[in-house]
Amino acid sequence: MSPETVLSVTGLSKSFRAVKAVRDVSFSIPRGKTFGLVGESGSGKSTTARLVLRLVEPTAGSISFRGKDLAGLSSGDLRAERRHMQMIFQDPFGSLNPRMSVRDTLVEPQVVHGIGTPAEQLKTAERLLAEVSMPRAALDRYPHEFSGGQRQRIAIARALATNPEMIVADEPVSALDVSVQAQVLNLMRDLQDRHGTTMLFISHDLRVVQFMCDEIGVMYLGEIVEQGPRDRIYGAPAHPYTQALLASAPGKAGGQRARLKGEIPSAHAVPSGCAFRTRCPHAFERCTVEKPAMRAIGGGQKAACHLLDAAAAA
Amino acid sequence: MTAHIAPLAADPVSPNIERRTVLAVENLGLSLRNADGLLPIVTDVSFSIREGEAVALVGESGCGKSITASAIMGIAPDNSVITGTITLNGKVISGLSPKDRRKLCGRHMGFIFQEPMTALHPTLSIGRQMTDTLRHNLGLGQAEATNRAAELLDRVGIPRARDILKGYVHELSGGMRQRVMIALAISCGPSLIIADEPTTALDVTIQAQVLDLLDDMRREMNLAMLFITHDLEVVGDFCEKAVVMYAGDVVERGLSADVVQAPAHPYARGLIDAVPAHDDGRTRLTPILGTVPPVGQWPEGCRFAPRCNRADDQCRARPALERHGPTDARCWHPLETMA
Repeated sequence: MSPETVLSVTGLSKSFRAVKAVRDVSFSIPRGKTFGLVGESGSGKSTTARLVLRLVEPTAGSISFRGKDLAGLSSGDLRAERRHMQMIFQDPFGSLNPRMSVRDTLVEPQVVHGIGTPAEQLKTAERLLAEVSMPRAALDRYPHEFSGGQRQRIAIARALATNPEMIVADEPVSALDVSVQAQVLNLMRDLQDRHGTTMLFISHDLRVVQFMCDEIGVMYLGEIVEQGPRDRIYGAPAHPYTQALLASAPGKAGGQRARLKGEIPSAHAVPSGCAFRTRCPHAFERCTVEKPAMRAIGGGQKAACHLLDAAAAA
Repeated sequence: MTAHIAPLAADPVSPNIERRTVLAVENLGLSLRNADGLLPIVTDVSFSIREGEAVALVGESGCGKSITASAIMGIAPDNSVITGTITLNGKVISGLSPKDRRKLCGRHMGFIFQEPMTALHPTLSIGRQMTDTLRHNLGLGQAEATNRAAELLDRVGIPRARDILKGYVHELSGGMRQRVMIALAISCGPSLIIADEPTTALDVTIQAQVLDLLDDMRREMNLAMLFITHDLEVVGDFCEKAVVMYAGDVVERGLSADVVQAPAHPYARGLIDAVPAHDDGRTRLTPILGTVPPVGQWPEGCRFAPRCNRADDQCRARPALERHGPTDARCWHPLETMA
C-alpha cells in the first residue's frame, strides 16, 4: 500500500444469515480524494460504509486505514482510531442528540478523544461553527431550533471536531431541498480543500456523485460492477448497468431513454453467474453460468462484464 | 357553467386542435384557522389543465404545492378556509358539500401519492381495495369488478394479476406498489389524475419505468394530469407545462421547456442552477442563499426578495404574475430571456 493511500478495502463481504449484503468489495482512496459509491437501494452501499467504520463486523475481507488493519484492532484501539474517521449521515434529525446543545455536540467528540483543555475545546467549537458558516449564537441552541440544512452543517462541524483524516458521508444531502443541498455540497468541498480530508461518499444521486467524487464505484446487489475515475464512468460507462443507470436519470436524453426491465432481485436469491443478468438487455448464456471477473479497460477504469471479454477478443 | 380562465402564456404547439379544459384553478387561496386568526398557506394560485395535458406543480418543501393539491382533491385540513374557485369539467367544485364532492371525485379524479405504503390499506387485500372502489363508483357486481381489477393490474404491467389481487401491499416492492396505486387511480375512468411526488421514493431505474407508465396512461386515456414534484429535471421530461411555487405563491408559469431553459423568475433560475448538472465540470454549485421562509413569516411584497440578488426597494411591493418573454412570472426584475 502506497503511503498516500488512506483507506484500502480488500475482498470485503458481509452476510446477514442467508442475505449476502456485500460481496467481495475492494477499493482504495488516496489522501485528500473522494471515492463515491453509487447504487440503488439494496445495492449494499450503506452496508459498505458501515463495514468501513466497523459499525458492523465484516464476514470476510480486510480494511486497512492509515496503514493499520482495522479488523484486527481491539475495541479500545478501534475507539482511538475512530478519532481519525468520522461520519455524516443522511438524517440530520436522527443523528444529532436532541437534548444536547450545539456547544455540547461539538465539544463532546473532543472530550471523548481527549483533545485539548476545556477552554481549547470551546474555542475549537467556535471555530468549527464559523467554518460551517453558522453564527456563534447557535452554540447555546438545540437541534430542533434549526432547519434541515443548518442541522447538516452542525453534523459536518461535529465530524470535523476531531480533525479526522477521513469522513464517511452516507447520503448527506438526500434529505435536503435542492437550494440547500447546493449550499451543503459546496461547504463539504470547501472544507475538504481546506483540510485535505479524504472522503468516502455514498449516494443514490448520480448528479451529486458526479459533482463530489474523484473516483466512483457503481454497486449492484452487493458488488462493485464498475469502478473508475469520474470522467470515465460518466463519459464512457462500460458496464450495462452503469449505462442504464445513467440513461434512467431524469433530464438525460429526453424521451428516448433506455429502460431497464424488472427490479433488483432480492439479496436472498442472488442470480447465478452475473447478478445483473436478469435485467441486462445484453445477457447471453455465459452470464447464467459464469460470474464475470473485474477486467481493467484502461484509464484506471474496470468493469465486470462478459461483453468486455468479447470486445477484447475481437 | 364554465369559468373563464385566461390561457397560460404559452399555448399548445398545435393550436388548431381544441382541447377541453378539465381542471381550472382560479385565484385559489388557502388559510388555516388557528387560535391567532388566519394563517395564509397558499395565496392566489391560478392554472388550468386540458385533456391529455400534464402540468407540473414544482417547488421545494413548504412552498404550498401539496396543500394546493389537497384543496383540489377536497382533502384539505378541516380548519382550512379556501377562497377562489376550482372547476372540474366545467362544474365548480370548490363550493360543494364534502358528500357531493366525494361522489364526483371518486369517479372523475384519481390520486397517486408518494408513499403507497401509507396510501393503500395494509390489511385489506389488493383485490378487495380495487373491487370496493369499482363497485362503489361504477356500480359493478363482484365478479365483474374482479375481472376489471385483474385487467387494470395487467394494464399497468403487473405480472400474475390474479395472484396479486389476493395479496397485500406489504408483499410488493415499491415500484409494484406504485403500479397498484396507478391502477386504482385510473380504475373508474377519471378525467384528471393528481400525482403527488409519485416517483420520489423510488430508485432511479424504477422511477423511469413508473414515469413511462404514467405517460402512457395519459396518452391512452387522454388524461389531464397534475404532477407535483420538487425535481425540475423530471418536469422538463414529462410535463407540457410547469407552475413554479415559492412560499405559497405561483412565481412562474409557462411551457416546461421555457421554464426549465429560460426562466424569467430568479427563484426558478436558482432552482435550476443549484442542481449539479450532468456533464458539467463546475467545481462549485450556485446555491440560493438562506432558506425558504416558514409559513407565517413571509416577507411583505415579493416573498423571494430576501434571498434574491436582484432585489431592490421596488420589491417591497407585491409583484403581479405577468407575462415576461415566453412565460408568466411574479417579479419586478425578471431575467432577460431570449424570446
